[in-house]
Amino acid sequence: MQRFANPTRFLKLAQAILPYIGVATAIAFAAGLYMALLTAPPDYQQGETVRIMFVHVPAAWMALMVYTSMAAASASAAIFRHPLADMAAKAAAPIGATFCLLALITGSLWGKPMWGAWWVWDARLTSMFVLLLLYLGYTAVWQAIEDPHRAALIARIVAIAGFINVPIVKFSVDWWNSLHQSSSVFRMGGPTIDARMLWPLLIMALAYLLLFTALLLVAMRSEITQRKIRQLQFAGLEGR
Amino acid sequence: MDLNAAHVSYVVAAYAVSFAGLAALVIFVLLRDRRLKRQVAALDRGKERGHGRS
Repeated sequence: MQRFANPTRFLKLAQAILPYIGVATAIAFAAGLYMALLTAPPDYQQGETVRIMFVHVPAAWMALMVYTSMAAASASAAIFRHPLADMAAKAAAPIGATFCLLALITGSLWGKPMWGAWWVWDARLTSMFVLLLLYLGYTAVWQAIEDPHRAALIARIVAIAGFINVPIVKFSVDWWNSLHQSSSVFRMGGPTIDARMLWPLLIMALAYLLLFTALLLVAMRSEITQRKIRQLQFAGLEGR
Repeated sequence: MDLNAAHVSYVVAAYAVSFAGLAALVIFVLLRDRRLKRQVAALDRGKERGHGRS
């Protein structure tokens, strides 16, 4: 990992692998959507509404995974002084926030026909909403504080402290009485979901993961460019 | 998928929102990258011109 801590080396690597990730993302989305909309059967209780799961669940998984990676990157920046770690966390935040927002909206679109309500202050939904607020808070820290070193320090604290919410989201359906169904894929004893629904779900999740990787690489490249702009502007001011 | 089944409009809306959200995210990330690249190129050109004069 330390080998890619050098921004120049990272930019070269990102440039080389981005086209492949882009193509893989397009293929995964095409296959996932084909299976989700055409080959997966309707559920015996939910009917066609079950197809919302193929966009809702990957978005929710990604929202949790991205926040976990932000907390890990922030811890790495604090402990190992990895030069790209803060940039990675900062670049990941708007992407994770979008996944979180999409999970909430698509969940609401599933909840209305299934529960009869767009929203309930259920443990899973509320903790997911808190996750969205954490993403927004983290992004606001970077926007509000002008000194990048101070912003990085406070953003790390927000990311690491906010990580406590991730296991709360995951286990909320087990710890409290919840309207939201319990885990049917990542659980002890293996998945309980039918293979004809599990595969489209896993392929859509792969597509979301590949999209996140591609966007993260581009967003990190933008962060490196922004840092260079700041240095050039600073050098220009000093030159005067 | 049976387009005449109950609640299909919710399914269509969920896929439309997901597509729109992800497309907006991709456009935002790519446009920001292009804007910053142009900005750094302009600053580099200005720096080179400055060196040329001195």
